Amino acid sequence: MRHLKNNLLVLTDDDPDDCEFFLDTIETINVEIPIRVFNGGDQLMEYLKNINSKLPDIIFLDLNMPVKNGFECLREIRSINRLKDICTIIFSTSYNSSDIELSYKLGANAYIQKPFNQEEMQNILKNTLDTDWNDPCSALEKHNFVLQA
Amino acid sequence: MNKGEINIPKGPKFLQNGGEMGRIIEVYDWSKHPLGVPEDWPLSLKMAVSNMLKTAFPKFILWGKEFFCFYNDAYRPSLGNQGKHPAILGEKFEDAFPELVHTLKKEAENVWKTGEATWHENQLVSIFRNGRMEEVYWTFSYSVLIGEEDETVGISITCIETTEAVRNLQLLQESENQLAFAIDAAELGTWDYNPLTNSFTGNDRLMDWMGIAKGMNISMEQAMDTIVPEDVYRVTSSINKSLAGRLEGRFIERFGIRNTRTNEVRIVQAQGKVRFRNPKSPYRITGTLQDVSEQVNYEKRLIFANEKIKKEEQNFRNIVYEAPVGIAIFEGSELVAKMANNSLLSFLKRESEEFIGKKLFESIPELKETLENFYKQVFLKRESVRGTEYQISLPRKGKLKSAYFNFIIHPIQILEGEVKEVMMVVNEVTDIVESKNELAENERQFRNHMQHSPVAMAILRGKDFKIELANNRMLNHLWGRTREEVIGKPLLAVFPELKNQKYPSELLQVLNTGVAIRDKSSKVEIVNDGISKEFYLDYHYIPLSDLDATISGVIVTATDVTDQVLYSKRLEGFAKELENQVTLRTNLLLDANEKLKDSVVKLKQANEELQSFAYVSSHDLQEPLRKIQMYSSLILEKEYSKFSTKGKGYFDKITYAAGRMRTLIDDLLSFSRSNDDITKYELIDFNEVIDQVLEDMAPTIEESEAIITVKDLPMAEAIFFQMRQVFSNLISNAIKFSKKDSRPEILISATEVEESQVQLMNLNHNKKYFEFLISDNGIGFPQGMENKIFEVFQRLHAKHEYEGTGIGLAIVKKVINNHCGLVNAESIEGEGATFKIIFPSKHS
Repeated sequence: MRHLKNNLLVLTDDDPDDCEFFLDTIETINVEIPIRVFNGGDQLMEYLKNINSKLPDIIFLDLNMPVKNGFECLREIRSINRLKDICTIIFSTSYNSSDIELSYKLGANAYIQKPFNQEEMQNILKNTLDTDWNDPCSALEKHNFVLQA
Repeated sequence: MNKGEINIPKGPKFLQNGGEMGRIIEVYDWSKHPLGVPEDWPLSLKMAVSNMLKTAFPKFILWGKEFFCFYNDAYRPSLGNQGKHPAILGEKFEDAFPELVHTLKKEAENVWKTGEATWHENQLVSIFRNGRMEEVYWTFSYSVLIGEEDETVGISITCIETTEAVRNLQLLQESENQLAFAIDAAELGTWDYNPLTNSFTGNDRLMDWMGIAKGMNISMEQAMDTIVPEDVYRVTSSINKSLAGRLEGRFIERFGIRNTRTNEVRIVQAQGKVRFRNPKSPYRITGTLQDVSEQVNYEKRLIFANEKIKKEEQNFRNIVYEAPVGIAIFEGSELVAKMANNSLLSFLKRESEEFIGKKLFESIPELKETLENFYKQVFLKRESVRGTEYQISLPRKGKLKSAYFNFIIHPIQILEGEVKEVMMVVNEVTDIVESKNELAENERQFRNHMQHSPVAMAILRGKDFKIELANNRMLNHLWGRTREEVIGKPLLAVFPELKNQKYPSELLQVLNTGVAIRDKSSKVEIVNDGISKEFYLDYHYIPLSDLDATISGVIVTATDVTDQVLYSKRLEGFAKELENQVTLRTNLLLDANEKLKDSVVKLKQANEELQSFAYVSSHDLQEPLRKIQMYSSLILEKEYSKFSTKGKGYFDKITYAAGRMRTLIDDLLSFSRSNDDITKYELIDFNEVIDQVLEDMAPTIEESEAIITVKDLPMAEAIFFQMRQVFSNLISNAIKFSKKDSRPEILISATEVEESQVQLMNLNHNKKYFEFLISDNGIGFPQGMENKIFEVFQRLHAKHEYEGTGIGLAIVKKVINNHCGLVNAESIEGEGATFKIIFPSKHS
């Protein structure tokens, strides 16, 4: 796996099953990297806005969350100078084109539809972590914005 | 008395040499006369008689108180041939001249008494001579004769007859008077010029003309002053020429003289003649002046009038030459053309030199046949003949063509009863005749057409509406009369029953106003053979106008609509019944509509429910399913080996069911999504669409060993991912429903739809459509299922036979419908199926 500058991943999802599945899968692909998990958008933003907080290399962001949803978080992240360059990848069950489109518009780096089995999950996470999202060549177009397992 | 007996003289001496009267006195028997015989006469008597006889001048002596008459030879002619000579010799004066007793006898007595002589010149003394009283003029003198003792013894009369002189004088006077009268009557001025004394005189008229006092003597210079300046030199030189003796001294000149007082100018014609003492010395020039002012004016006017006449003649000639009618003059019976105007030459298509001076029938032989008889008639009868609309064949543009002419041939010079010249006036009326013929033909056709028209027609003329014309339909059908029964008769005389109906007053209205009247289904009653018949007519009264726009008649057209009217009356009953029925059905329909509306609302609700189901499934059903699958996969990986065989079997069924459910939800999502973004068309390459589909399906295709042939596909406006879905569904269907024992073969092709087909299929004919065919060699489907297969959740086979959710074709239909296209399927069961997709190449 590629070396990460800040050595921190953030997962924001209100579904504890999905969070567990995510963490288990990371484990299966032998990635040793600290992962902070937030169960809501509000918690994520609270953390990010704190100047003392360590900023993550990648934020995995669910869309459908209570209090503050993924779109709101994304919009805020891209509007705050200190945060705007953080790689943010949408991690959602939805496969609605309107959701995908809005995510693209708001500046997400990629879109992952939550996989149905661990193998797919492993493949996607591997690919995601191997990509240098700060490299402009990695920027995705609308048509390949949704990552395939 | 012995007269005429002249004896040898032997008497007294004083009678000797006394001429014839001496001898007459000598032979006179004086013995019985109171004076006695001459020998005894007193001396004074003897001397007086002797003196008298010897005088050659006519003399007469009255002697004694008795006035005895004596006269000499010279006197004798005065007594005439038959009369007093010689009877009065010795007679008393009163016996000899009883006619003079009161005149000359008195004068003689007066002279006797006074002794003073008297003198008379040209005295009229009427005497009897030559067998009648004659008026005789005398110049005479009476004087006394003195005797021996100074006593008066007689009267001596010396006289001379001046009758002839007086007569000449009288004639002269008369001719002078006549001259003066003539001069006066001729209003002539007279003048008289004496070059020696330079004295000029004129008569009163001339002086008046000159404005100089009458009777004045003026100089030639003064006279010349009255001549208008421009004429002075000419007149002066002319007078000088005359005075010099040229032109035999005649002077003729015309000049103007101006009245010095009134400035009135008159033109005079002067004539004069110079009189010469000898050729070198003229002493008089006299003449007349005639006022010719009027004549000059008249002459001037005459000249002017002549010029005008000439001009008018020229004008007339021009008019004749340029006249739009042809005019020609021919001489003699040979008809030699003497003159022809332009129109005539143009009618005949001849140049002037081809025609003038030539014989008519030689220069234009084609006229001979038609015109020769007319000309002969003119020469024979000496009267003009005319021809109206006469057809003459003339060569025009190389062909003989019929032309029509009106013409008059008129004899214009008849000498001694014989025609010498004829004039022909021709007017071409071909156009008129042809249009007249055409009109007549039109009218004939019109009448024919009218006569046989299925519409009844008639023409009514005049205020009493005389039936001028009625066609067969009118006669046979409506009127029931023969033509002879009606033509020429007033309408109401034939159909008195019309008097009580509205028609006569309407006809009159049309006649008076010139405005047509029409009506429909109008009832009319006509009596035919004593039976009153009822008709319903659509009729039209049209005013018939003459050329001067007065309305002289009415054209009647009528269509019998009796049957229609009767039917429509019967229909009215049906109509009412029908109306009731319609009301009833309408209400039913309204009810049905209400129900339909409800259904539509319900359908809409159902659709919305379906939509929301799709949404719910995408968000909410997916989530637990995904977890089932996710944990299944974890169990499969980590715990599966711990299951008993039976447990493994159950777990497999869970995994399979979860997989099916996922497919179902995915398809439902696709189906609901196919509604979205329908406006986002872009030009896509269908080859690329198929490529992607084949790539996605590569494992399936490989497994099924399907042979897929793709013909070159077009570019069209469409939504890419939806089209991918469509072809994906169709191809996977084709593979899925292949026959178990043979390789699936799939053919994909596309063509442009022909325009005729576009119209036939009720598509937008302004657009270009593509037709895609996807055919396979699979199991197909039974007939009658062509539409059903496109319905949602419609499956033809058991789940275990052929997998599927029954949504695929519904998505295809929905997408294609959203693309404004059509989809259908054909199949022969067991041999394969063909799906046909049609949609437009462009959407804007």
